[in-house]
Amino acid sequence: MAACDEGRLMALLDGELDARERIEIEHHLAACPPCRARLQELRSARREVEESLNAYMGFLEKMEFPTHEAWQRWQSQQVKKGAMNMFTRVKRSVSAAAACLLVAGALTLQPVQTAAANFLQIFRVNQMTTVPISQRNLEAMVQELRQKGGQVKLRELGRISIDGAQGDAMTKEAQSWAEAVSVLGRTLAEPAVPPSLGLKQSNLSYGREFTVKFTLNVDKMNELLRALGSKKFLPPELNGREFSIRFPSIVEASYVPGEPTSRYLHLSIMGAPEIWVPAGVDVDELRSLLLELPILPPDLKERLASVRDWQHTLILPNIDGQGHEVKIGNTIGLLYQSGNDKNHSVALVWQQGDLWFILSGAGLTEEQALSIAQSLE
Amino acid sequence: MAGISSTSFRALFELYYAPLCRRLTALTGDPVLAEDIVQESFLRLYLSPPPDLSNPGAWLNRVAVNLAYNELKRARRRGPLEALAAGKGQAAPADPVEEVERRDEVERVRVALNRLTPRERFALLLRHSGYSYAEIAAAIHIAPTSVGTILARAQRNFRAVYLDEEG
Repeated sequence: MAACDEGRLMALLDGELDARERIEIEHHLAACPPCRARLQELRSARREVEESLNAYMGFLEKMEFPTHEAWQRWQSQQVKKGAMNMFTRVKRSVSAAAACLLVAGALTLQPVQTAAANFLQIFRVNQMTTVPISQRNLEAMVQELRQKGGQVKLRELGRISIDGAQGDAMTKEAQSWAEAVSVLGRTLAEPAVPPSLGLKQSNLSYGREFTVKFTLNVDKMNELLRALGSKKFLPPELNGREFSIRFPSIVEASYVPGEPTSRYLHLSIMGAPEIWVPAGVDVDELRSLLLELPILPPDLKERLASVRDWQHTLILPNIDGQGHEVKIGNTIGLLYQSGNDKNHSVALVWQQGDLWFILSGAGLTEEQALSIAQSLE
Repeated sequence: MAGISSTSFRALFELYYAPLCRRLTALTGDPVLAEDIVQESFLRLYLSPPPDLSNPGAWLNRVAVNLAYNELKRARRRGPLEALAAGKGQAAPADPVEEVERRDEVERVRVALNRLTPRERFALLLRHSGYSYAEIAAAIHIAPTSVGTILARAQRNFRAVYLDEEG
């Protein structure tokens, strides 16, 4: 009968029936020898299968999966996928990023152009500096943001859309260096990667510009600001106004080793991003609102407030003093290093003319990274 | 912006990579596929971390199990899996005779599991690793009331092949 089909008998053995079902089925079993026999069969099969699986799992338990090698593989795959990821990351975390970008934006604004036709203020990021912060402080901030701001869903803070090519159309493989850099609207020397590194170019691609637009929901933004303890709020006129960030064309080149080592090199070159702010927005006011957020640790607040020329400066966090300034030709770059001798990674960021350069890699020294950077001059 | 710093991401990788690979090897029968799936799960964690990451191990596990199930259903992978049969990365056996016998049994279990449908296989292995019926149902996209039936059938089919291999 249906009361004790095989599935229910199995659930009985696995302790997955509720009290009522169990009583029902036990009543039936007491009166039905064939069902009792089937239960017995299921029980002994179940035990045998469990024993077999125990042996199998015991064997697997001893299998080694070297985590260190896996980590390196993971990182080098990141590099191969780098070109795409740079964009998908922007897309996927766009909602989470909106708040951060607004901070970065407000701190780095300098009008370079007022487009009278559409009453926009356009700002171009063309300088950078670092602000020291400790990992501990950073994590505490994120924690606090999550706890206090947790009531407000990020996607409610505004609407985000992306203009421009998307998906696979966002990046194109280039046949030559000259073809790739032509999207930047100028010529540029090809990087000289020392042959001793044993690296081969694995990917050369370029992407067309795209624009991330967001319109704010001022009520929700203010709700978040209030939750974060802010004393200042956004003016209601900002509701529904469109902010956007235009990411110009980008060129990306990856280099991977011929032999399986953890060494790699990745180079991105892009024009300076621009932030478009609707007319009538007081960026000084916006900046002070953000600087006065109580979740910023006091020393960080002081550092941020003391950045001169903040209007056109990109602020990069220097976490736990891992970064320092280096000279590349006649410009200053920031070099970050992490890891130990065996697994050493380097990231170098610099800006020259109207272009931004990001070089990252593992298994190469500071000198090697710098010499590659110099060769691009 | 991702919400997970690179140091704590590395720590999560150190902590969960190998145990997840073992669990996924059991589920897929293929250590290479298992590693690919675990790598993909970490990639997802990296690209779009959930807003609440109080239990990253459970999150990774859920994502990995889901990826594996979809992959097996898509590929209907069966067939012999040499890597495991050859005892990839195994520590040296203490007693060679015992080891051979043990490996023989493991081999039979593996063959029997490979003959099951992905649904039966996952139900059986997930129950073995302590999943409730509700959790199994969610992982293999069936109604919780069907779990018992699937398990009974999986058990029967497993034993049929296993005993056949023995004889």
